[in-house]
Amino acid sequence: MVKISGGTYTPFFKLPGTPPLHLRPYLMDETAVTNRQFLDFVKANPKWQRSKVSRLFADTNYLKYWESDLVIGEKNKGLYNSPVVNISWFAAKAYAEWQGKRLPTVAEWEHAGQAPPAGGTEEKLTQYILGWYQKPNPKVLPNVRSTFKNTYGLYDMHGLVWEWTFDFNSFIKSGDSRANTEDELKLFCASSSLYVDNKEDYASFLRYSYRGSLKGNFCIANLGFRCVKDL
Amino acid sequence: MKSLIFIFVCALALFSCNNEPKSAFTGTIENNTAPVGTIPEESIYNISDTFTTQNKREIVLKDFAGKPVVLGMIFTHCTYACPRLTADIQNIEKELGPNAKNVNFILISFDTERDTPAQLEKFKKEMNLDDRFTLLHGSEDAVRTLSVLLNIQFQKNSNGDFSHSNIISVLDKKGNLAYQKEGIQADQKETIKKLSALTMQ
Repeated sequence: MVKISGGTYTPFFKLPGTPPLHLRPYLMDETAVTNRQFLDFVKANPKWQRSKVSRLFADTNYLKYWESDLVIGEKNKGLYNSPVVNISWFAAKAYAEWQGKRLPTVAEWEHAGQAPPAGGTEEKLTQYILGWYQKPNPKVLPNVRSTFKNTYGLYDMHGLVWEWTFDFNSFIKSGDSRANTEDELKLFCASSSLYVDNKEDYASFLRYSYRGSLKGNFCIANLGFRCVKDL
Repeated sequence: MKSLIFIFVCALALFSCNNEPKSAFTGTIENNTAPVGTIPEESIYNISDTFTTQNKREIVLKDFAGKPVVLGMIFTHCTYACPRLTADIQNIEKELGPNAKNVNFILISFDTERDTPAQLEKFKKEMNLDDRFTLLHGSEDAVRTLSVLLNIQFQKNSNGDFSHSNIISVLDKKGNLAYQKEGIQADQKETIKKLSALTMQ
């Protein structure tokens, strides 16, 4: 794990008049959790094996590309060190707890992900991210550490998989949430964009939208996770 | 059966040792007599997190099994939506008439810091909630897990308040999510119909 310095984080969506969040320093996994690592977890925790997992906690796509409960498989031999995907929020959270860690909050993940590639600039980072978002998913998911390392020493924060966060179901102002949320007093379209911190940062907007579309038991082919730990 | 009750009382006595005040619990969740059977795989009662009631009693959600549940997630410092959502749930209770006694009413707080059991008790009095209502305080983890299971979005803002969706959820006797209605002062006819049907089951 590497140390991420704390600081103030301004949420992408924020209500008028609310000050930025203060983040304490924390430790974060250098890479996403791999298939090999996740296999150890399901071996030690049978209730998280594919045939045993509760549908409440993982949908039918849970680990569906593995050969069986405890075998990643010959056809997946290129994936042992690739991020584990098709895992639910509940599974990711259980893994983190098993490791004595936890899932990062959205603020922690975004704060760490804002760091540019070592030696690069933030503008390049945004371009890089948008470039990745445009690309279709690769047929075989590359191994961890196959994209860039950022100035914190974290690999693949962008460019490999999307990652679960603890509070992925944080409030987001979307077009169809009118009258549904406490703060939505002004009921007109596009009210959400008024509260966006940086209108240019379309990449962040996409991440927040993506998170807002998830449910806790969803298991998706390009969604993995990494853990954090308090210092 | 008597020995079971004895064990139950002993267990509660043990719990109460960890809490202040040390007196035995007051109030009951009036559902322990109904047969529950096994908890289905998709029931929300499969989560094992403990919550604390406004009476400082430690419970798990499964303790509510046996009656359908009307559930809202709120925080008591909320000035706009939560008092209205709470009033909506009170209206549901009123509309249910005598059948309301066959339903558990639960409010769970987003605000793990400020909504202590004492604060929840205060809110209960202020809102004139009767004893069919249980107000719950949980850990950050437990509250987040529940919000994920109920598809309720919420976020803590840096000023300590919360942005959140306003959803009234109905659980059946075994804790399966049976119905949800979004919005404040929404039409709850369907909610009431659903609840009436669930109490008959």
